[in-house]
Amino acid sequence: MFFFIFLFNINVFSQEISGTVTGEGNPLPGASVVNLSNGVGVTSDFDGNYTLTGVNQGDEIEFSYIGFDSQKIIFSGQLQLNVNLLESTTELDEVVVVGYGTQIQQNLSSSISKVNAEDIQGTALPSFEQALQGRAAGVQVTTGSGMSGSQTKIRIRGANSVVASSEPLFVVDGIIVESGGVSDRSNGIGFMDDGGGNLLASINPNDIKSVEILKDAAATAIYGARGSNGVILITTKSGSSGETQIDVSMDMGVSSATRKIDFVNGPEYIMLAQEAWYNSGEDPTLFWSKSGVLVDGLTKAQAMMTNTDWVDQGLRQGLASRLNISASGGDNKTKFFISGSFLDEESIFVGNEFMKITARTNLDHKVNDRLNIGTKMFFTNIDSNPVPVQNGVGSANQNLPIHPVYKADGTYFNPTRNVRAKLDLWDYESKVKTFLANWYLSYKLTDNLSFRSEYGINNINNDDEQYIDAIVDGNSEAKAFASAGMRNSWNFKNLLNYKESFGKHRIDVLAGLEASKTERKTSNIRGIGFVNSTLRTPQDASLIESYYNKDAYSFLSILARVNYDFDSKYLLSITARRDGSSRFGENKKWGLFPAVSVGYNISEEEFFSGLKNTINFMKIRASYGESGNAEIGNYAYASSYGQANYNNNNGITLSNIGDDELSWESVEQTNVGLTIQMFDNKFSLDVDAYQKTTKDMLLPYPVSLVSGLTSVTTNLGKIENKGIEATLGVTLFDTEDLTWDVDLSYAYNENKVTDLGGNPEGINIPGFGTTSIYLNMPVGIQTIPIWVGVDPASGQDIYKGLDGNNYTVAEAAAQAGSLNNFLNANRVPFGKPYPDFTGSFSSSLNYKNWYMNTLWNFAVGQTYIASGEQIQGKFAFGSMDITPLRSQLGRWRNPGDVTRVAQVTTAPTIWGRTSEYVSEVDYLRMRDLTIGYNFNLEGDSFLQSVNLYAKFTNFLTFTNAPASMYDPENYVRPGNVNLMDKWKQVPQAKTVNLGINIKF
Amino acid sequence: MNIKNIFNIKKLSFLLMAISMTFIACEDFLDETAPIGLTDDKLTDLSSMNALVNGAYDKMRGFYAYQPMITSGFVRDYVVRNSANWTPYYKWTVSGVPQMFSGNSYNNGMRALNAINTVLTANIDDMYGTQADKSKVLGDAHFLRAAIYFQLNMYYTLPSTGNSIPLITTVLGTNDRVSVATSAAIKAQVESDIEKAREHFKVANGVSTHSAATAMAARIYFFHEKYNLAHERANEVINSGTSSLEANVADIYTKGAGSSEAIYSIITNRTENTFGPQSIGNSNFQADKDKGVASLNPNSLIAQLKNAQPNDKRFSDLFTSKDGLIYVDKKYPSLDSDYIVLRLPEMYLTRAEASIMVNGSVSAAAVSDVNMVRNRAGVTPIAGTPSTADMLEMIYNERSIELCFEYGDRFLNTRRLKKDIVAEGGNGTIPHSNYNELLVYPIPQSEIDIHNLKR
Repeated sequence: MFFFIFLFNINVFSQEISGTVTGEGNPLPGASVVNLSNGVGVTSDFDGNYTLTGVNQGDEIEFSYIGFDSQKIIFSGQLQLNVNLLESTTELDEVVVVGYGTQIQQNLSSSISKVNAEDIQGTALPSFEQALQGRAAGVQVTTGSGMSGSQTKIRIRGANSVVASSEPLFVVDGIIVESGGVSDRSNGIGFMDDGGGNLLASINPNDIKSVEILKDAAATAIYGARGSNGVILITTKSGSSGETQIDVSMDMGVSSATRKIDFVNGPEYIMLAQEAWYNSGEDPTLFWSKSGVLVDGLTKAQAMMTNTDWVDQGLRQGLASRLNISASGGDNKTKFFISGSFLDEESIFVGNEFMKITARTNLDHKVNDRLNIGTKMFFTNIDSNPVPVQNGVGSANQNLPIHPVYKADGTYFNPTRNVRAKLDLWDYESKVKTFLANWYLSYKLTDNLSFRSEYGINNINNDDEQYIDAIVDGNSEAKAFASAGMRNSWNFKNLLNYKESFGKHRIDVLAGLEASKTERKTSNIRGIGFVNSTLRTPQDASLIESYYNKDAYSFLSILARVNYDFDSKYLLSITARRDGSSRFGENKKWGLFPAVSVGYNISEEEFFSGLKNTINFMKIRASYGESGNAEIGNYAYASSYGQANYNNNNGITLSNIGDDELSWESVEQTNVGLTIQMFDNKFSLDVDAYQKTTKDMLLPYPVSLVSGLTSVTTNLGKIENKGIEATLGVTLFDTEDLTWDVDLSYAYNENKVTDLGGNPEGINIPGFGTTSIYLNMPVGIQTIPIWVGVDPASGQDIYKGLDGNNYTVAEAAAQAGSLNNFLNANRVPFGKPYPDFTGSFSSSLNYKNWYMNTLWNFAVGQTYIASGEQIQGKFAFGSMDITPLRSQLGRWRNPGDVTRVAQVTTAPTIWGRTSEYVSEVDYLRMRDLTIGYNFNLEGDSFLQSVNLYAKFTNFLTFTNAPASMYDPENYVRPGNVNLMDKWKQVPQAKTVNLGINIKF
Repeated sequence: MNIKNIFNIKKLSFLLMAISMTFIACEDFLDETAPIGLTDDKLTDLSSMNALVNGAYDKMRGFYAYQPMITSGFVRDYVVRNSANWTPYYKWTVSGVPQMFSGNSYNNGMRALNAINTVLTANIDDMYGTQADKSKVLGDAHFLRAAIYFQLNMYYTLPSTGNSIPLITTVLGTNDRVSVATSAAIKAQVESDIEKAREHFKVANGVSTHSAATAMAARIYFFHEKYNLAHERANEVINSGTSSLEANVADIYTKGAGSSEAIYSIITNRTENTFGPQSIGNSNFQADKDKGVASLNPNSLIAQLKNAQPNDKRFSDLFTSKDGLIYVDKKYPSLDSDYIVLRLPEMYLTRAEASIMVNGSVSAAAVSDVNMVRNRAGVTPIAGTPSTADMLEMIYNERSIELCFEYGDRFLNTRRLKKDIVAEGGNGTIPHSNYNELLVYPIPQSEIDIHNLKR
């Protein structure tokens, strides 16, 4: 339905035709032209030209080329027949982007998931990669929060590392790009904890043509020391010859938090607080005067009348509008794709605003038959106002519901704690400019041998400014902070590609060299104390501190790949990359990462022909290889002393203990897979099973303070991930009026530590919380004491000792000297930091002009500790300044009460986590629902198409998550340690968008 | 395009490949050394030894940071308003001493010791420099090691076993394992170090001074209950005339290290480090009901002493009555004032008490020492010569008033004399036998795990 045929001269007596075969406007050398009536066939030459003789009127001629939809044309006397083939949309012939090249799905023997543009376009999520959740089996995506431009966590086939980044490598149009946070926002003047933004949020989702996710070692080894976490390849759109097409899409959306944490209200607080006061033997008549609940001039009468929901002070209804315009087109020599987009968003967080402008130019030009040049240039400007999480909505439980937001005179009540005051009086402006570009020339040295040289750059500049008003500061000092950061990366690669086929043998050889370097600089200046409130820049402060940092890393790589297939039946691919990096220790500068994969298209065999009507296609695949993880920090291999001045004299202090042997983590992966298509391709199944072993894990190996530090970076131990992924696709209807496709994906992964070197007893990683690594347990668990329940007789918590006995609080304190001592001494490894399985269900339904697409995700089996809300809430009355969760209402009151909440008292906080706080978090969520309508247009309309749609994101969620959590999709922290425990939760957003897409 | 051009492109292709190859040949491309920070092979001269000592002093800011708050909480001199963080430190009878802030002294102390031990094991004799330059560095290194181990030993010793923390006097690698030392062994090391510091400072003062080391020695011997040496050192400090009492008590704290009675101070410089006892003390003790955290416990010994002599300048000039609370704010007057670890009045009180302990009787000199401190505070001097028991009680009270909310003397002295601590709710007291074993800092769990430490 998409093809164009250009008919020229008509001559009924001609017995010979000639013409050009093009693919998406480019000449296709080697295309097959076959007269189906007599079986005579030819292939097109280097410029796509062909000549076919002996053609009779009425003969059917087939034009085909791998990766493109074939066309059949009835010969009706044309002298010249030029055919433009369109890229295949059927799965088997689909072109799949692999590292440094492309391959046809059918000939692929590695494990790669392809996500199409439609699934990402127009996403209302903070960043495009968050829309990948549920689109590829075994790719677990967690969205940071509902904040604009929030971070993402992606684990492809489980967590490979303990502390080295386990995020996949992102490659945009062949350039390895910087991902992760924009700036360290907790380094300024307060605790932002918003994740520092997300560099990938700069990418315009509507520019993306396809996303390929490389999963097994055979696919990732071409990225060598940086491939082991999986690789996400993003390919942007390019133009095609023909009329210029203009595409305009606009949408508007509203959003709100998916859930809110359930805290007690004012009257409930007073009831519990008075009960705790009384239970601890205090004089009930002195509650109001002595307990401390009345702060900042509040009276009892005012407190009794106040009922503030502090969560509502930090959250609001969000609003967003997007506009995207693109133009694409070109002629035989030059093709272009130019786009611009604009996003203006006010997220669900009070004070959070985000404005993004993107501009893209993709150009390809054919200089002559042999030489092509081109460029892709992308610029983004983001101007945003992040807001603090810990001090914003995260501090909702550090205000009491009996406290008002404002005093009678309109000023903020108790401003140093007031959620609203902090959000209003804490200004943060973050500007990020990103420039991502590459330029290439490709030259055909011979018909079979081509050379490609490509230079790419990725420049990121961030400019952050903060100001905190004195009235919200604990020491009444106004603070200002400015930070300028710069990251400049360049990348230069030269590739030789040799393609040859002889007989049924086809070979595709790639060899290349790549050099890249990234430099980063950060300059921070902080000013404290200003003589006048109109002064807001650090330079005007009475006290000025400065900080400067600079670092760099480089990679040098040699890569090679051989793809071979025999008659598209037997497939073999061998890959190797040798990577050197400045990040590695003196004695381990270079590493080699090889991989091999084989595939067998069994359905192409003669003996299979009997089955072929039922099983249209069947392939079995296997691969084995090794790739690495170089995210070990830039100078971790070297010992160093950092500045620690004293009294204006230069001082130094040990900051790192180096290791000449420090190197990458290497991951060995074995993969076996099966692809089946049945019943006229209406049923498809992809199953992969894998086993990954990370060797030489990079660990912050805990060392004693006697060495001067708490940890050193070292390579030690092994982690194993093994699992199964399955994707099932069924076409339920495929008629002219009605098409309905459903897909189901499922992934099971088991993560465990299999070796800890000389530490069979486990390793406790220093830092906040009690993160531990134990043999035969997943990485990310915690060691915590086991809470058994509440003693019905005394109302005290009961804990399990390592001796197997149960102890009430009083008994525990008597046994160990104090409860803190007891809890420290009776910890066991505990918890499930990862879901047992994850998956998704998606459906795509088209009826006449209507369509409805939906995506549901699920995750089952994870456990979690909402530590801030739970711990503070349990001990809310020791300090009378914390609002407990509503679940505290179920507390023990009288002997014989069987409860899960101990008696409320004024006992002081015990910070240690216990299993009491652990809850299971399973969920099923409607990630996306899009309902749209395509208008019928008059034939002479200047419009090509008009489409209206409504998009619902995260709209429905079913979960057993406790009321101490905003949302079951819970971004705990970027790494793999301490995964069960987040101090303060951050809400996620659900959105409804209305959009229109018009093509001219 | 003509043949010649094609040929050029071909040439260009080979040229580009060749350029790539040069990267491979040029291994320098992968040599990226950290542009910031000093590598360990440079620690070979006196300048870097000095820098290590300065770095250790910087760590002392963190080492002392929470001491005044934690130890004043132990003796319940303050009550906490609306702070879940600090409530556990004055309600320790309920749950014991939490790790949360107490681990800070261990962490910073050990890091400072690493730098100090690096200096003390370096071959300073062979480094270029004068003997005075060398003595400065060595004096400071011994001084800090004594100061750190003295304090750690005081708080980490488990009375029931007499065991303390590991004693480290060399630079240990990451694979070295240690075990706890006895309190007695640490005391011996501390005494040896402080005497060495005194010897080196005799040649030339470093960051700290000979009188600081001598005063620290007096404090050390006093709490090690070697009263004759404590007396001797305190006497030396007082007689040296290097320090003199401020006329006005509030001036001591605003002047900080510049005060005439400050003997050993930690300099606050927020451009270097915002963290330290000043920032913690000022934030928590400030006279603001909602921003500050701690105010005088109306049931505490200090409150009782204040009620008995309200005109004592150490109350009237240093405490602020407001909002129905008594703030103990003026010892931490700003975030920028220095933290005085040791000042002259302690020497007078130590000399007075030590002389009684040595001689078993009260001398006129001892009374005169205490009166030096009382006179300055505008309190009626002690008349005549009280009985030994009365005099010791008076000195205890005097020390309590003079040194409360400072580095921790209130707690150490109360425990030394096995006196009771006022109960949490103010009703009754907790005897020494009950708190002695409970008021011990917990060793950080990671250290216990790595070395399998057992006290």
